[in-house]
Amino acid sequence: MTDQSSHSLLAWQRIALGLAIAALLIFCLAPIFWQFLTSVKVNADIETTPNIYFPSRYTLSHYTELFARRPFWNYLLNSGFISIASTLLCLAIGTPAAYSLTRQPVPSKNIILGVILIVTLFPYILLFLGLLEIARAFGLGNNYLALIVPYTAINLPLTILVMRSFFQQLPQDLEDAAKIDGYNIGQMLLQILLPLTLPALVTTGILTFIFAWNEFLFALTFMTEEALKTIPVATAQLSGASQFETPYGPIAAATVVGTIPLVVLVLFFQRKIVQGLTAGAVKG
Amino acid sequence: MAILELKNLNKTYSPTSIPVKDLSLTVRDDEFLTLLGPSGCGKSTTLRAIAGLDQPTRGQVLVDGHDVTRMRPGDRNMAMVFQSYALYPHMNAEANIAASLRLKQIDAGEIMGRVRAVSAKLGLDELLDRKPGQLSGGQRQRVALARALVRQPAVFLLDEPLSNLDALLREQVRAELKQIFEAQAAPVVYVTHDQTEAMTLRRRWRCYAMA
Repeated sequence: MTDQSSHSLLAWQRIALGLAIAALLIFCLAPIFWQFLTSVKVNADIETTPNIYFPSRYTLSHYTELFARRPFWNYLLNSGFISIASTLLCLAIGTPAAYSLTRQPVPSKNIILGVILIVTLFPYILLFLGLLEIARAFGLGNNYLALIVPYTAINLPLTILVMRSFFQQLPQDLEDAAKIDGYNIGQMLLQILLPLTLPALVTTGILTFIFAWNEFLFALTFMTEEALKTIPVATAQLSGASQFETPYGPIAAATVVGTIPLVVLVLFFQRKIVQGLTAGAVKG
Repeated sequence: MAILELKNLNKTYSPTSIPVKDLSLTVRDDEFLTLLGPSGCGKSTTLRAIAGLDQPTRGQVLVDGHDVTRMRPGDRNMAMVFQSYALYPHMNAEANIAASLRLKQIDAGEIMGRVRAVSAKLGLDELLDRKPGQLSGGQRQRVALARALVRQPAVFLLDEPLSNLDALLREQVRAELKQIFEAQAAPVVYVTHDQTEAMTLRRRWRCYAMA
């Protein structure tokens, strides 16, 4: 009797779980799916009323237009370069800083950590006008550095805090053993500690990369030259033949093109993260 | 080969907490010094001060009459075996054992010879390409021991190396340890809280009971 009821409850639960997952997926992915559908519809189908949800005619012309008539490769390269540079810089500065704040005798360590935490709470929009002035003073307008430096700085606190919590989990004995074996601090960080914190490096790296890839406001303001624009700005500034025409198709195609690198990156590194976690297997 | 001396070694954390107070002792070449005492009595603190992982508040550590008190741990030519083994999880056993030699940029052929010799002595030949995660507790313990022996250091330091092993294995390894270190002409400082261990392993009757 109990068996039966618990069994039927399980079946009921399974259905509810399935429904919940389906609802969540539809809720999250519907806008993206809509963008994708729009990007492969012909113009006539995009503009008709009532809406055509699932078109009978498909076209790739919006995509070819992006690359043939506009320099979208260029925008992708700009975004890629700026994002990769910010990510690497963030990890290169943040990791040693996090290590120092974990294990080295740094004076007033707690104050520094407190300040770092406060910085993460600071709305970054408020920095914007100040940064504009600084960029102007240093003559950094229309220079990759105008974006790389702020992106790095904005993501440093999170990188430091996440890496610090990983370093704290590593056993102190490991570092002592490395010191006795003759590793200096730099070698120890590179050869012993970083391989063990690879999952953390990848995770924080991906967060920084996604931020830099998607950032709009700084990119819009600091980069006015056409050749230096990033994907989000270029997408937003797509315009039709006349003032009254909104090029929905190309915009949707650009959105898809701008999203694909992120999806590929996350999927690729997600496998790395899982591998890293299972191969680590320190305990036993 | 070497003489390890401690002169008036002091470690003070606060005026009321002084784990090591004016410790002076000498360990000669073929001596096996056991520091015995309950946890928290300062034996590990002493060992860490000898290794250079912690700075003593006062006093000196001398190897062959040279003051090494201010030297970095890696420059003291001492090897240490940790209670937790502290093997590098991402390197295989062979890389773990050879790490310190590779850092000194010793010729690759010689490194291989020395690693082979040590691993043969400890029965690790079959396990050299395994990572610590694929080794049992006893095997890890032997890799940690090999990592110390391969350096042919001036001084050996062992911090409760047997306490993570189960009782049966512990007795066996204890006998092995005794044999291995009898063949080494270098001072050994061994920290333990286990009296039987301390009594079995001591070579000359030098067993400091620390209060």
